[in-house]
Amino acid sequence: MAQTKVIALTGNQAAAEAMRQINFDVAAVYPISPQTELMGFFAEYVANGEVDTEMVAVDGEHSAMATCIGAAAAGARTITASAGPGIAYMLENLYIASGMRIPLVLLDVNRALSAPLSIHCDHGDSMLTRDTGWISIFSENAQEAYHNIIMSVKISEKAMFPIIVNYDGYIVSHSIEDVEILDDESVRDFVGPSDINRIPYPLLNTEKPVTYGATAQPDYYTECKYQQHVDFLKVYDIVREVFDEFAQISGKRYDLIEEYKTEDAEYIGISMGSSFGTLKDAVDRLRDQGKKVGAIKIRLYRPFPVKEVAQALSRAKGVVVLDRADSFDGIGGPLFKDVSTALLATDNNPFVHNFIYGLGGREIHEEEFMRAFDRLERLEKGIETRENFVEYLQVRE
Amino acid sequence: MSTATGKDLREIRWHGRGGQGTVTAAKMLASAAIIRGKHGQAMPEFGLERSGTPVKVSTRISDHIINTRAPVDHPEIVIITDPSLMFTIKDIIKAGTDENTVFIVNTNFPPDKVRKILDIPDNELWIIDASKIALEEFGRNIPNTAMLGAVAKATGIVDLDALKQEITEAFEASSKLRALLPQNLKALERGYEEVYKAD
Repeated sequence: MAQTKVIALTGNQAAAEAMRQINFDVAAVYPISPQTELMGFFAEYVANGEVDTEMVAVDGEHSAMATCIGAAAAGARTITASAGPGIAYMLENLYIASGMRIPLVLLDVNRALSAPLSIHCDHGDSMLTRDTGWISIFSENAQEAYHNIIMSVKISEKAMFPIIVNYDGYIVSHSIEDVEILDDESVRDFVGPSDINRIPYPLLNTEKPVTYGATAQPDYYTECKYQQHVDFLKVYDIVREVFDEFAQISGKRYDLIEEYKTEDAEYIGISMGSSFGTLKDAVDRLRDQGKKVGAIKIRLYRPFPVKEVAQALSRAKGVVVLDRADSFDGIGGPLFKDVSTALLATDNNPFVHNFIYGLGGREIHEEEFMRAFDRLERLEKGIETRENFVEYLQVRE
Repeated sequence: MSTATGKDLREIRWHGRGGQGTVTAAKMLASAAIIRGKHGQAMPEFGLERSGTPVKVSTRISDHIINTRAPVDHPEIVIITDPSLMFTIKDIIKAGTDENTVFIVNTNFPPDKVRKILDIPDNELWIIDASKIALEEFGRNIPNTAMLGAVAKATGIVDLDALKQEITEAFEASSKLRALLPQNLKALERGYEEVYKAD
């Protein structure tokens, strides 16, 4: 077990601390709120010589990701960070990273997409990445962001896929809370040395020259994508393994999803990120009123934990999926569609409703989540009806 | 795992202006509680991030894990670090408060005037001229450390030594602030000594 100490940190400070402890090789970054502060903290560690990281200031996020891909392909342990429009700008290269099987870490300090311009939190940026072939993990608070970043290095290198660690902009990134920090040595032992040969085909291994980013003609592109498809399904077990290994040093046992009072719950709410704490408090208040409700947090978002979600919903009468992003597709939010699809893996057929909340940093209160449960119950019982699967939870009409 | 509810949870809301260190003070209060082994949370509500614009910050302190990420809607304690806000955003300051809410105000107004402006005839009210302390100690109207002293005295939510430790660590970690540490520790102590409970 690691030595631990509890200190007060913001999400960005906790993330920078994880990056300092990992002491990785290359960070190519471009500043964007609310990520700017994070890289500011980390740049101090670089300037003070506390880490060996080569920090590369580039001309934009597209270049940041391109530089990271090059460094990581060479064999360097690589971490970058961005948010909102920055994620959008690097999108082309995200597909290249996953297609080339590059292990690297991207911290997404979740921010809304323009227009209208907003620097505040929602999950619109991360939802852009959901089909890119990156592993994606959400963090509820600074503690989880810190843990997820440490674990992500190992997950990514074991799976040979890039990984996104999400934590909510401002709500987590700029808020302070008590965070249990592991000692440096335990973190470094856990992630292991960053020797280039820890990955199968480092470009810098001149004994074994390889090509990255080659063309594939129609006769082979499908096979490349099929390999990617098959290997991405192996990520579930790799994530579980790393979670288990991490529990041995941290004492904190994570699962792909987190269930809260779901055992006897008739109605279950599902969310990701910082709102889950508020959702748990809403569940407690409804339980006090005698309502049988529960909540599920999606920790591993990609690949989506289909079996775990189906199992957790296998006895529910109703499910309300809480999306911090809209899809504008006439169906519902991204998480709603993921959960609805996962329900194909259970014989249970609960009523599923979808609410969009928390866009562009809109604060979310327990009472609003309680209202979401209430609407779900009324719909499920046929007391109320709906025109669409999806509704907005907090809106002035 | 038990969660923070009921009496054990202390909920504080700060109202100040950008540039006066209100966000920092709210974070330091949570940090000082964390030094004492409690759970703490401080969440700024970011607006335009311009110097001089009103800022609102929530601080929660508890012996149990704090789950919620909602801003504090029904504060037990309201701290006003800029007196002019009493005139400009009185409704925002008073939102969710009742006769049991404790007010701690940085002002050189007499208590009766504060009671009248805020329309709080019976609330527990503490007055501290934190801006005067800040100007006297380090020549700038950054009243946050003096306010923290006042909050410690008025609420007992954290002890003065924990705040001293937190301020010392925070100032020593910053090359810009290091030289101002003694003056701020003095401001903290003076805030603690000079705050008074209005009749």
